[in-house]
Amino acid sequence: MTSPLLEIDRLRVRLPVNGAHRTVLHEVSLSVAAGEAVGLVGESGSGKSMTARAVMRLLPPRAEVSGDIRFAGASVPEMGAADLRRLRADDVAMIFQDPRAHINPVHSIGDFLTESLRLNGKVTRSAATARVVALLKEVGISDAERRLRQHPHELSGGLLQRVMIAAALVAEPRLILADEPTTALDVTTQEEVMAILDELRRDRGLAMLFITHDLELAAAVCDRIGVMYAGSIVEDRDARELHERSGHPYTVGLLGARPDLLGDRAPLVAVPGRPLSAYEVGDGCAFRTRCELAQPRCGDDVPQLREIAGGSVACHFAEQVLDSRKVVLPHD
Amino acid sequence: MSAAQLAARGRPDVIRRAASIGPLYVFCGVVCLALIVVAVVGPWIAPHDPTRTDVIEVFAGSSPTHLLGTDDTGRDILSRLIVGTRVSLAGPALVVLLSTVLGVAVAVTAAWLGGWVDAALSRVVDILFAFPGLILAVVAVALFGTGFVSPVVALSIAYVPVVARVLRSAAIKERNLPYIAALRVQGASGWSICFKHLVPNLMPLVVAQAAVSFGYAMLDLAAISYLGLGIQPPSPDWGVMVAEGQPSIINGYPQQSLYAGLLVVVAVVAFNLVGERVAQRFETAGAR
Repeated sequence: MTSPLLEIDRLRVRLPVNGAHRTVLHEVSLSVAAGEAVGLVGESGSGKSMTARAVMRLLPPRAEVSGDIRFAGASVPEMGAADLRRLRADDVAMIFQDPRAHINPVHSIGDFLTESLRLNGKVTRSAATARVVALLKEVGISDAERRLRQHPHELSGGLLQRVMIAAALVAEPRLILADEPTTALDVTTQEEVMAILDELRRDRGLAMLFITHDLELAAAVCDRIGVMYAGSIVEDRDARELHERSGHPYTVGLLGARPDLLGDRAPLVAVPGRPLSAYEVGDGCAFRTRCELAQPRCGDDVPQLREIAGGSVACHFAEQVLDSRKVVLPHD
Repeated sequence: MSAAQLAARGRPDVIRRAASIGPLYVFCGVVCLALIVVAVVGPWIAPHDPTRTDVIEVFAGSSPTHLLGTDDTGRDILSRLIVGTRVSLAGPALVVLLSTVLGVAVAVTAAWLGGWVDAALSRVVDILFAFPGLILAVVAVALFGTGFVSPVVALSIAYVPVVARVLRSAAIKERNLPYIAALRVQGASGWSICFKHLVPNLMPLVVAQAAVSFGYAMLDLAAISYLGLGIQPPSPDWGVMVAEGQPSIINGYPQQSLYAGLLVVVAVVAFNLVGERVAQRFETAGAR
């Protein structure tokens, strides 16, 4: 097997909070092969975005990072300034949740899109503009020439996110980190933007780390899905199999906690309790306080990710969960 | 809709915009512009030669030939004020320019690099802040002699902390905005982010701060001239004119000091108000 494009190996991140250091990522291991789309799913605060930011070395100053992140074999935490810039400029692009906040409001769309080309690519202005216009057409912006002269405040959120996607693709990266790219948009716009991103990604054979709290969406556009809980990955599995063969009670809970538009109107099942922050997790399994299956053993023995039924699950009772999901889906 | 807004409807764009800014500030802006124009064309529009003495017409009152009268050697006060505008504005302008360039450099360096660089620069700025500009200027004159250059350079340095303090906090705020992180993720270098994004986005505040500093610098330079440490007579500088006209006040001829002093006050107030208004606009725009 060839080595994956992105390999996150036992990544652990602690951030300074009021003088003390708090753990935000416990031990995240994840890999993305070239051309593969991997979803990272979890509740707010579970460390999804932090993982992506760690890959880009965008963590706050004085963050303690251990473990390794390798991009095409090169260790990201050990990169010098020049290599890091090359990684950011050429190899990895990031799409953010709120496009409006992530574009300089004072510059025109054209300046925003061509800036990185002119900075890194040594391209003439007209060549850069031509390329950007072509890209904008690809992301479904037809009157590209006019848009280039406009400023961010003149564009709707959906249009701006398409501009963001174009900006991410402009440098022809090998990996896209998409941090909830559609969360801030209307549902209908969401669908369009997601379809565009998915199509362009497939056409170009780009790898993607797709961060979302929408399990359904992740399953639709990703090849593989990592489920995060309180700073750890609790399940990592093929996207098509996740529905049928989820082995972690939390994944099962997440699957049960979404509305089904087509099926019968069974009451929604919420995962009981509140999501734990990574720093609150003591010894043992992070999910035990909300888990129906919790046994005394879960309190002092941290379950490690282990291979089971074609995926990996961090639960002592994964076999039991796989055998009968009814155990953790209480319909009263 | 207020009465002012109603009245503003249907009028040409310029007037409507002027009404929204407020008549006082428009007036101040016009005064500032007029002063700048006079500074440029002064020597050509002055009715008399500002240095030509006339022993017959000493201490003349206002008359059609000498609108503001003459001084103790019969020089036309209006012409001296007009011609003196250039040097009286050039001093503060240079102070503002130098202190702004230095102040922006210090502020952006401190904000961008953070850590010990920020701490060190901030301490230096604090220490410098403790010295009043006038004292620094007096020391500079004592070391390098009177004239135009040493007070201007000294004041420029003295004004750096004011600019740097205001802009440092604004630059830190700007630097923490998500779009800066997005630029870093695109692989933009620190230099290009600072020069193409950070500094341009701070410009409204820089301009506002510059206009406010301009008023103070003018006051300080006038004081230095008044003390005889700056521009030397017979060059017509407003501060010099206030000082020169002082002995004549007791003799019942206050016009020279009075008009020169008034002009300093008007210019300082006008530049200050315009500066504060611009700063205010920047703040409301930032709060949006």
